[in-house]
Amino acid sequence: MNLIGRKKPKETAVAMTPSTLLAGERAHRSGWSRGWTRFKRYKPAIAGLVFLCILAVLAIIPGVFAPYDPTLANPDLLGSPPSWSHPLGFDEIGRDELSRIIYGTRVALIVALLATAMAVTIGVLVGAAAGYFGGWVDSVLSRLVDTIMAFPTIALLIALVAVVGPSLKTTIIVIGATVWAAYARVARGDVLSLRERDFIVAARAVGANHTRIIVRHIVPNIAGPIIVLSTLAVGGIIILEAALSFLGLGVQPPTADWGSMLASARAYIQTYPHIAIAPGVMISLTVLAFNLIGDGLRDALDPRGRD
Amino acid sequence: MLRYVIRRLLQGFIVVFLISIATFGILHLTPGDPVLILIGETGRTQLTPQQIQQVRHYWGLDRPLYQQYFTWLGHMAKGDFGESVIQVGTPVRTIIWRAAPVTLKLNAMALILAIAIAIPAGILAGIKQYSFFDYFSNVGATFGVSVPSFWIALMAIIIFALKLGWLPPYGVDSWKGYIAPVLVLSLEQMAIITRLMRSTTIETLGQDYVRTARAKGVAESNVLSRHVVRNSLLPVITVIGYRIAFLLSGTIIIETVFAVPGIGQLFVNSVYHLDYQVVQAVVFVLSVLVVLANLATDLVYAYIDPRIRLT
Amino acid sequence: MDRFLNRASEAMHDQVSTRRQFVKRSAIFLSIPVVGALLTACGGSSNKSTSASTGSSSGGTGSTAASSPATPEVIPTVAVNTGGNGTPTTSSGGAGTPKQGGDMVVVGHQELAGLSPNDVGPGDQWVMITQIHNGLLEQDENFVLQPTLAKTFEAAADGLSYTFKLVDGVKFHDGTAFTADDVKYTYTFYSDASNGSLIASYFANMDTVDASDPTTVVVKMKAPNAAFAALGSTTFIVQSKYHQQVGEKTYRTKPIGTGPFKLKEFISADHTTVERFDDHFRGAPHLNTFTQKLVAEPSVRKIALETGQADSSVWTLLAQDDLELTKDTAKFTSFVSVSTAVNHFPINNTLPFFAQKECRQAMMHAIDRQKVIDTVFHGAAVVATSNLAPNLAAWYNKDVTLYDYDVDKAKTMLDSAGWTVGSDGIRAKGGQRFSFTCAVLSGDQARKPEAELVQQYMKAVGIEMKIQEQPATQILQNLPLGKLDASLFNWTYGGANGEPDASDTLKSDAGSNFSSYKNPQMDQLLAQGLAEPNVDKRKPIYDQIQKIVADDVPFIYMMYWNWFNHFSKRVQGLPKSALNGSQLYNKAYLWWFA
Repeated sequence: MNLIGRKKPKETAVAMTPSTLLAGERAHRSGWSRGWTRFKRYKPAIAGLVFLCILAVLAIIPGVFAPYDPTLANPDLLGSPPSWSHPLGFDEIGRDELSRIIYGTRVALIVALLATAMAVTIGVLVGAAAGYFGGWVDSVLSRLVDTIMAFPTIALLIALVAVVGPSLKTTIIVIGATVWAAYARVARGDVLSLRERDFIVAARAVGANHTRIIVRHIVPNIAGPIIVLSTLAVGGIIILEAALSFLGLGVQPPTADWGSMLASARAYIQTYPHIAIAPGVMISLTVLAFNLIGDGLRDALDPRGRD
Repeated sequence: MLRYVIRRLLQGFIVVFLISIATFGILHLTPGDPVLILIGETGRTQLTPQQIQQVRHYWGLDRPLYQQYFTWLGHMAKGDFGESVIQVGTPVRTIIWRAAPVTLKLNAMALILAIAIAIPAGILAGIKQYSFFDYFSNVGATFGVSVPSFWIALMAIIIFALKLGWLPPYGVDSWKGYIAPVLVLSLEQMAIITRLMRSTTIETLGQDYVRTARAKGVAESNVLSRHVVRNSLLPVITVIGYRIAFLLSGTIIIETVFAVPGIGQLFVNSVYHLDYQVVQAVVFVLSVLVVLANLATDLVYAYIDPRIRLT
Repeated sequence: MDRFLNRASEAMHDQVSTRRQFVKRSAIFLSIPVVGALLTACGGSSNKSTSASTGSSSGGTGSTAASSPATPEVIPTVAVNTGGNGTPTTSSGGAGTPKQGGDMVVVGHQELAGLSPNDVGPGDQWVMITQIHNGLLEQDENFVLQPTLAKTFEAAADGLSYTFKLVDGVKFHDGTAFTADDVKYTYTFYSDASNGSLIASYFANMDTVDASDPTTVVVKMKAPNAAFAALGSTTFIVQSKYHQQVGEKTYRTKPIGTGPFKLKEFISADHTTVERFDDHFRGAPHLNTFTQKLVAEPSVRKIALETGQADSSVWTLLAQDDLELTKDTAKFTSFVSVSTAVNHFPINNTLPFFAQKECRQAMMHAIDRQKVIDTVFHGAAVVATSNLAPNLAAWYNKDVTLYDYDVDKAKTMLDSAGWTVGSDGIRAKGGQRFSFTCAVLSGDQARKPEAELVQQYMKAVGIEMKIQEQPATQILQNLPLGKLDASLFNWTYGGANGEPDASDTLKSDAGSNFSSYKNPQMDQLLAQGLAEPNVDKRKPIYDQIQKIVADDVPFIYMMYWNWFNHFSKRVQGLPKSALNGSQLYNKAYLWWFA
């Protein structure tokens, strides 16, 4: 789906002969570079990418950009509103908000990347297996996925963290271990539709074994949708991490984290309301950036526009 | 159709069974003596050893694991979810029963609001693709899924309750207390449903039978109402059914922020206070609800979709 | 039964055993002469030497009541109004005559676990239990023991017997008559720890309860228990036949007492409501109902007060909110007193770095406690010097080791204790890093900033303190078992009900020994202090105890909070002032709405 109106490229009809079948497949594969060109034309995605690059830089070398130490509390100045030297003011124990926002990027991106990687990996493996092998494998795995998806995610996360004890590591693992189910479903659907495609059938007919088919045909063809899926998944995961920290079940002080900053803001919402603004804006912008990039990728890699 | 229904029911049954095992298993995965977890610190200091033994026997903790499961399942099926250790002596069933109406009201209103706005908006956006309205609703929808609900909730409290004083800052003692939570809860669903409605509308509009209808000279309004809307609505309805799980998820956070005394807040507080029986019961009840909702959605869809109905 | 943190000990056991007031900043004073006058007025009719207690050795103020040498000295450690005067001593501060009617709503911070006399620990619970029950005596808001169900009270000089004469014609909520048997049953039941009683220690050394005369109760002791008057005789009395029938577990949810209100509705996680009991022996209350609603967060309690949804908060708000409401005299009547619960970090003394006294002392030097008070708590607290609060003037010993904020000294002490700074900036000794985790209560808005600030102070001297939020029940359960490193909350280590005894916390085998502190000398002193009936001989013992605590630093003691009680202006009948704000609520039966 496009944020800005754009005409979709027309599909040209292709005759279904064996040679064109294979050619179709090859054309698909060399679509990467074409995809990039298409991506570049989608402005909001570019904006998202730029923002993300900035965030990445902030996350890797926050010390260069943060004006002050994010854990240094100036108790005399607690709760002070924004000023020229401290553009975002101070938090409830006198730490510089701006510096904490910048350092908070680290936690957000680390959790985002690691948890997403974990969730997508597990999800794709399970979903692809279910979709490809079908039969009882599919039944068992699908029921497993259904069970996990039946629990409201937040409820499951809260319960798990309460048992294990909150920390950065716990957050990553717990999120990764719960959200993979949704991606398994998507991966399964993709593989299912792919399985019936002519070139797969042709390959089976020629006598290729499962491994060969999976490696040479399935994987490259779901790679695109999987990448899109991952990018769109990150946003939700960032929000989940922030929600956990908001409830006090995420990273612990003095680590700067956007969700925890919102939790403190809530306690002092009447006296120091300014604390609540910046962390929320950062979370929103980051998730937005990932969503825009995801949209752009989807258009770029899958021109028929599956919505 | 019948085959599908039977198969679907069986699947649902299996999932509920798996859920029950998972819920049952949490007790035994938590470190510590299960019976002490069940009775909490209150019980530990106040019950006599005989009473503790009674509790142990009641939940079958003195028997092998698989027997324990069936004992536990038996109690759950009868609605006996145990007793709270924080609200001493109160059956968990009663506690949940008390908190449920508020959550139900909240979610129902949020869902209705989301649907009432999202479906017309999505259809309109789909019909008038690339128009200003389309652009506008797309932007809105994208933001809807990007902005964390608890932050919007905080902003709403700051602006509407503290600065303007239009709404109460917490609780649902007056009807005004429902406004902010319902709005915030509906936002995310609104965004997703709008996007979906839009895309299915676009897809339907591109279908052959629409072109045929237009070619036949059918009035545009009839084309829209008889063919487009009905057919685009179908997939969206199923998605709404599947989104119940996410709605419940959102409820937990929203209720906590707005101090609404529903199941969500009950759950969070119970976790904070290690009121084990309540946590277990809430997780179980919510999951089963989700499964039932999905089941219902699938069956409704199967009935409506002639491709399945006629098999 | 749960004794929750930030407890009630503070709220309820927050009483001072003296008539010498200790005033803090904008507090509302109770002038000394007034107290003295009150006591003479009440004490004169009795033939016992009265409220002699306290502060007398230092030429204390209030003991204006003549202590006639011919009669045996009274033992009680608190000011006692020994009887003859049935009317409460508080002046009714309201204008006009009381109006009938009205439903009062107060907000508390925790679910109420139960409403039996055993549940009086947490302050929120006590507020409701005191509406439903009465004890033979009760503490008023100025630390004076008042006769309640007992119209007179006599204690033998050797501390081995107590005689109470009961008021006539008192009825329970179910219409039955109150007799000495109910007292005997109550005391016998709750003095037995195997009944699950958490207040068994109040009756330590109790031998027999003689209820042969239905209007007299004589309690005989095997050995003196100096704390009995303050703690034992204020225990609430239950309807014995009913209690015996239904058992404690049911009683907690459906209590029957003699109090001014009877239970109407108990939905612990939401609210508890009591309604007027017309046959209350002191006269029916003016209010129709009295309700406590659960509002866990302090910031939200403040909103409730401001919007008028609640008439009072039984638990403290955030410091700056408390100060703000106190200044708003147009909307609120505020009482400011000082809590006797010490805000502290219990630390696990069995851990290698906490086992060394020098390390603990160094930590005390490393924290600028006054700065924490001034910033996080906006000045609404006083630095703690030991386990007893400064306003317990009769028992407070200021002659103890003091710890000023001296980072260099802290560093030197740690160095000489063998803990040297490693390459990561954290001290270590023999491969063991000086690193621990402080368990902070989940959702503890008031104290989390304090923990984070102290975390910084620790880092500055090379100690790594990690913070982790955990459920309150888990912390309370695991600390005495030695499963946690440290935590942060408020608790009374002596000082509850004006009683300096700290056996439930400082003794080696105490149930609430949160720091796993084992000191045989301390155990001995505690036992001695409890067995010593003579006030003058008790004081040096508790002086010594405070000295040891200050020197040993079994836990990092930080401060004593100011305690605020705000009432909306429409509540009438409040006293002009109170030394102990949390005790105000047992006078709810005197209040009315303007």
